[in-house]
Amino acid sequence: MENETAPDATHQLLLALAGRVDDDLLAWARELVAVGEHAHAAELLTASLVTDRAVLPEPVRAGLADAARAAHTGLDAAATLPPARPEDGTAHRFEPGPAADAVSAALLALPVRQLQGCRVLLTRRVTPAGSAPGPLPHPVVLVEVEVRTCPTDVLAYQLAVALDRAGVRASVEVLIAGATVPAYHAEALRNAHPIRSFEIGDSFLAAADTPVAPAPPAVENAQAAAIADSRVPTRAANPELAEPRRRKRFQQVAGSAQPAAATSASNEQLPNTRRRSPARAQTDDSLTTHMPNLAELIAATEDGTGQTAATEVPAAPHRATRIPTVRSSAAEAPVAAASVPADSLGRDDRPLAPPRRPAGPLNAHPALPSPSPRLRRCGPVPADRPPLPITESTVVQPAASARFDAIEPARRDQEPLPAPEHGRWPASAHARTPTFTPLAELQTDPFGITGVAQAAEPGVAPPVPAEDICSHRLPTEKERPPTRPVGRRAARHRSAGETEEIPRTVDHPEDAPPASGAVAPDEAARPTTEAEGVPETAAEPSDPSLRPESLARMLLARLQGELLEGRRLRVSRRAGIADGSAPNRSGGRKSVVPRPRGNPPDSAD
Amino acid sequence: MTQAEQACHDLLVRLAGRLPDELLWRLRDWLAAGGHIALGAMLPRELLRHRVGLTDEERELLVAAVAGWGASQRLLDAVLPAHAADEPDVTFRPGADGVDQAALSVLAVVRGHPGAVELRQGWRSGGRHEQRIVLVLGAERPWTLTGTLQRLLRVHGDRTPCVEVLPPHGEPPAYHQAAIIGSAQLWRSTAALVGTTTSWTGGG
Repeated sequence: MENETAPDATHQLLLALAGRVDDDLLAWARELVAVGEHAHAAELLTASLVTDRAVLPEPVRAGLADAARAAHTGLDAAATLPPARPEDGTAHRFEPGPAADAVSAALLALPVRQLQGCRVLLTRRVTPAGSAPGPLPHPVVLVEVEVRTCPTDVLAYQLAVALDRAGVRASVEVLIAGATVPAYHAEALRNAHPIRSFEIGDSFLAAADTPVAPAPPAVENAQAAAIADSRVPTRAANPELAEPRRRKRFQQVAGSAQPAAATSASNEQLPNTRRRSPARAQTDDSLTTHMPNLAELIAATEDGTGQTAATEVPAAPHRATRIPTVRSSAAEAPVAAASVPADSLGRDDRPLAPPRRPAGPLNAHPALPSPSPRLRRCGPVPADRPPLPITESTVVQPAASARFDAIEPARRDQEPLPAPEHGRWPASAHARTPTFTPLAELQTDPFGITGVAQAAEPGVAPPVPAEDICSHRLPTEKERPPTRPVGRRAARHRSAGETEEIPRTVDHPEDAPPASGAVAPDEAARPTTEAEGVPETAAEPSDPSLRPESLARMLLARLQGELLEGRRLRVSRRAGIADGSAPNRSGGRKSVVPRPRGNPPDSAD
Repeated sequence: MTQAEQACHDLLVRLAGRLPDELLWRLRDWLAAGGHIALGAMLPRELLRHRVGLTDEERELLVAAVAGWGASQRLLDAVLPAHAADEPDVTFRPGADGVDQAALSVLAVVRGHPGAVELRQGWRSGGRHEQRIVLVLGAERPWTLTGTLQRLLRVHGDRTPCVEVLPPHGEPPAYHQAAIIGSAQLWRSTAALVGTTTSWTGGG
């Protein structure tokens, strides 16, 4: 029973033993066979028949003996069973019984998927079966399967369990339509009345959509016929149909060459495929070969659209509409809140999003979502993360800069080290120069990045090369426009010309430069000088006439600022103990770090 | 042969609640029907299949029952040992006061069986549905009475009849003690109390 032909042999043996053992034992044996315990089933059947001294016809007796021998039951059925005796018909009698009762209702309530491609009949046996029979009449459910979609014993087991759970006690006999059946089943079929019938191909979708309500059998058959007419043959109807269907669909996706005329023509073929006869339904695999459009029809039906697969296939236009949709939803995310609402300019660069998106899940560092590294590096400045001014300014802001703002943090997250940013700083700075120009024209700091925005004075593209002097620090901040706290540091090294026109709204007093054009530098030099030596570069050109925008002067001013800063730092460190107005960095380091003990501050410089 | 059947019956009584009902009633039915070869082949296998351990006393009963019925010695040796019988976690209740057709049929059979002393009926809960438990105290050839009552109950719709025919004396196993406590008496023969030859040999 464990060989290749075991399922068929076991099924035939169980069919032949129907009516010779009690119905519970037969159902139990079917369950055991369904779960693969053929040996246990053979043991029980053999033991029961041997105990009952059942007289069997020769084929059944031989089959049972073979099964018992193959299962190593230890029961020699051939020796212990009474001699075989030929039979003429069956001693059992059946009657159709009432048309509608609990068994019929339970059968009608079964999921359609279970009975797909089946014809269900019901009869009642009025003669006892086995040595310990149950009450009579005993309902017997006959299921005729047109195409063997699943093992018959499995189907019988599943239906028996479903009926048992419904509180109905009945036997289930699954027969292959057109095959020779034992006399027991032939007699049962002669006295059975149909309950429901489904052709191959219908009812799988119906099972999901429309639960079958209990109804009189005749009505149910009509409903089933109606459902069969309105449904498309599905993959579940014939598993062999699925694979060519998928292949067809993929071929269409690759080629996208199925003309619409062909799909419409195949749509017209649809009713024909549904109304095929049962005999034709058994050759579904050949059906696909004769109907090349059937696969795509079914694929389109699976999609739930009424369209064919060819209409869905065109990849390019579909993506053109689908990707912006994704991007728009992503733009609503908090991370991309600073990005500009999608416009025509921004849409050109939208394909940049896909490479950025997998960076999150593919990132091996779990603590590297886009905002986290920036906050860590720039210190706890939570207020700059939701940049409200940005959204206000993005109304006019070019999309390229906005996209840069949205995309760049993610890149930075993947490249937390500033070294590669230094390397690419000059090129990227020049490339972004046009994008910063409109920002400077607005004379605002739309990103809240004072340092970067300050450098964007209308006609001043040169500030970028001017900062090459301190490119060890500035490029990183320049590369990250969204990082406002970084921008504050950058402001220390801004020239006066850069800082004066930027309306500083930053709450830091050191970063707040005078917004009054040419008069400001003198006044601005004092607070910055008081605060820390950083903005001293802006304070150097004390004379307004000495504030040209030329590069040479700015370089000179910066050099002088560096000199002053170094001088001041030395002084401040010496006198830093009493300097309460020292800036955060120098004062903080002085007040916190007692390192100068082992490392003198002068020598440290 | 009678001793083997008696031993097998005693063992099958002790296996109540330890083997599935749908199997146990068949084993008892085979015993009643004289299916010794079937029992010799199936009983050790089912004990092994369901990992039922037997005490020493139960093992002696097993050997006494099926060793002469063609049971494999290897299978008998493989049966798991146990220090004490498992006590199934089930509860019993007497049920409704009324007596149904099945109980009346059982009563009709038990009254006429030689040696029967008492008939009780209870309902066991703990599974998917309540199961009728028929208790008969004292009967000659208890395995035959068990088989008869089981088939009778099956005709009345009980798919897994549980008929426990116990000796009138002795201490029954814990399962049957609980069943006796949680059951209702249907019939009792005062005249048959004396003369019962079968005695309970187990200690539970």
